[in-house]
Parts: sequence; structure tokens; C-alpha cells
Amino acid sequence: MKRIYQLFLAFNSTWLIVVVYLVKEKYKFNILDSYPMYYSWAIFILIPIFLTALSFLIALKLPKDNLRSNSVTEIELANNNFLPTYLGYFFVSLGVNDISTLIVVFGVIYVFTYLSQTLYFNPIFLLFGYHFYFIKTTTNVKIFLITRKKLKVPGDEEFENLKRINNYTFIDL
Amino acid sequence: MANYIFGKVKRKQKMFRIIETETQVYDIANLVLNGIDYNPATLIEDEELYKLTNFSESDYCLDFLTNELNTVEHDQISKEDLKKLSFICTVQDSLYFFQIINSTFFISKKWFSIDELTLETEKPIITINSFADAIYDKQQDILYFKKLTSAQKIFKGMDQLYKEATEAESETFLENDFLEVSQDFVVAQISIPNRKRIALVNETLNRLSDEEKLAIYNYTNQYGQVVYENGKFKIESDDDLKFVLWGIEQRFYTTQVGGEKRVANSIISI
Repeated sequence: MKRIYQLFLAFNSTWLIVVVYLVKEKYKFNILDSYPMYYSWAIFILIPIFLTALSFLIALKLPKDNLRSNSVTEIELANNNFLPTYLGYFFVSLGVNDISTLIVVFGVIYVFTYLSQTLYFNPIFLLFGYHFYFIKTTTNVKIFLITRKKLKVPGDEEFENLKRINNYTFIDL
Repeated sequence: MANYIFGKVKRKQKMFRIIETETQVYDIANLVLNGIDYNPATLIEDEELYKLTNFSESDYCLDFLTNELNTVEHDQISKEDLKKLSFICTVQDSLYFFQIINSTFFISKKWFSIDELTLETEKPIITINSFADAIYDKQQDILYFKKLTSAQKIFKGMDQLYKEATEAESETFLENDFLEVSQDFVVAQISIPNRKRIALVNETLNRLSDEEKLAIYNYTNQYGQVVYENGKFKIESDDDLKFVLWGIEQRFYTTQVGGEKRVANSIISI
């Protein structure tokens, strides 16, 4: 169950590669043939947004964890960390010329995103008002936290209801 | 309030997170934590508990207990590790309930649930006892336990609280000038209970002045279990040794009414 969810999250965060490729190649849905291609593109982009929304619902069923406010020693905003990664993805997909190459490239990036574990960066989370943080605790454990809260000063916020995506990544719903 | 169960895996130092549950694993409402300060000379009843106060300052306390509990710092346990658990710890409010896991708690028999009538074969389960082996109250900083032998499996080094005298220590003890040990009785013949008593008595003797020692020997002699001649007890057997050790610990007493001579099996200082 948890593994499937992790695969699902990795899929959401890498799917934009495919979207960029489809847009570049000017693909559109057959049923929307008579409409401008922007409609189809909007749907391409809406797919990961919809799936990401769904991932929040699934996350509600994940195991619960806590983090006490006075155990946080360091907070680092990681919102921008995904940008270089994503720009990389986009340039790659812009360079891909056919579907079969795309499948292989997407497959490789997908597998590594999944295996990297620590990085479930999905910029779509930002659209839902979530922020990414690296948090260090008093026992020097560093975790990756996805939360709607604005964190700045260690010790301000208490997390009683975190959901464990994996041993390093937690989401605060 | 979520309750968490953690587990310690053999040969791994850290604690793993096992499960989170909203269910009360232990019935806190009816839990009476009322312990007797640990002393090897005190035996407790079945329903009673020993306690160690200021436990976090002791050498055998775990970091897990002293640090603030953040479950995010603990990795989720893997299936393979679950089979190698040495103990589990259930955290409810500020109480930490420890249970040693040994093969008896690890049921790998065939079983079926009464709710769901399907036979399970390859699904071993771990059962949780209604009473924990040790309970740590973080607010009061007190550790409660029933048996030192169980507690020391969790808190390594706790056996220091009740150690047996070593061969050398026993040897030194037998060489004391108030004992006259028979040729036939050698250190190897000292039983384990007596070795434990020797470890305790050594401390007692060190605290006593020479007059007090003499008073103790006379007192022991009054109860006349061992031959006492020229200031020496004649030790011919492990049993003789036991009576002398009891004497030094002042375990003998006479009832106020009736004047019956008795030996105290367990003592509590009041």
C-alpha cells in the first residue's frame, strides 16, 4: 500500500516531463480536434494536478507521526530546490524527438525519482499552498517536511499529525 | 492522542517505529503505579512493583527515554527486523511501557481470527501482555519493574544493582578473620543466593566500626545457628555461611509478644 503510494507520488512529480513533450510536439486529443490545441494542453496539465489532489486524499490514510516544536533546531526552506531539477527535466523533454525515446527517458527519470526517496518534489504541491522544508531536530536528524504552515523560527510550530511518506519525507495535511 | 509502539532490534542500537494507534494499548486509567524502592534484600509480592527514582540520571537509562519523543526521527521497522525484536516500547502520554519479546510472544502457529474465518499459516503475530515488564514514568522520572532480570534485558547494566560476588570477592570474604572456614568448604561450593548476599554484606561490613562489628557477631551468636568460638564463626557448609550472612544483615529478630525467634526473608527500611 505504502509502496504503491510512493510510486504514485513519484509519478505525479515526473509527469510534467511528458506534458512538456506533448506540448512541444503539439499533440492534442482527437475528440477536441475542432477546438484550439490549448484546450488539450490544459487537460495534459490538469491530469497531474488532479492526481496530486487525489494523493492528498490517499495520504490521510498514511501512518501518523509527531514532531515536537521544541525539538526543531533548524528550518530551511526548500521550495526552490526543485527548480533546477525541473528545468533539467524540461530541457531533456524538449530535446526528445519521438515517443519511444520519451518512454525510456521518462522511465529512467521516474525510477530514479522513486529510488531517491528523499525527493518527492512535486511543484504542483505549491499550487495547493504547500511548502517544502528541511527540518533538523535536536538529535541531528534531518527530515523533509511538506506543510501548508509558514515556518521560519524553530520552536514555533508543533506537528501532531504528520503523515509518513517514507522515513525522511513527511507531509502535514 | 495517538499512542506509538516502538521496538528495539537485536544488534541495532536505535529504536524503530512499529505502529501508531488511537487505541489504548495499556489501561492507564486503572493503572496504579506505586513502587517500593529497589533493594535486593526486599522481596515483593506478585502485585507489587520495584521502583528506581531519578532514573534518567542512571547509567543504564536509554537516550530514547531522555530525549523528547519525535516519531519522525525513528525509521519505520522493516519486516525482517520485526522478527529480530528484543523488546517493544509502547508510549502512552508520558508513560513508556516496555515488554521483552522472546519466542513465547512471537506466535507462529496456525491461527484464524474469529471475525474472519480464514486460516493463517505464514503470518506470525506478536502478543502484548496485559502487564508490562517495565514502566517508565517520564514526568516523575521513575522506572517501575517487577523483576530485575527482565528489566536488565532492556536497560543494560542494571544488574549492577544486584550483582553476585565474584570468585575473588567470595574468596576474600571467606578469609575474613571472624570466619573459620573448614578445609572441606571451598569457594566453588558457595551457592548463588549466598554469593548475592556476600556482595551486599561486603558493603555493610565496610560501614561498620570494630565495636559495631563485635556487636553484630554477638547478636548473630544469640540466634545460635552457627558455632561461635574465639570470635570466629565455624563455617562448614553453605548453610552455615547463610546464617552468618543473615546475621550481618541483622535479619534475625524476636517477636515482641511471644518471643518467637525469626529470620526476615525480605526487608524494607522504614
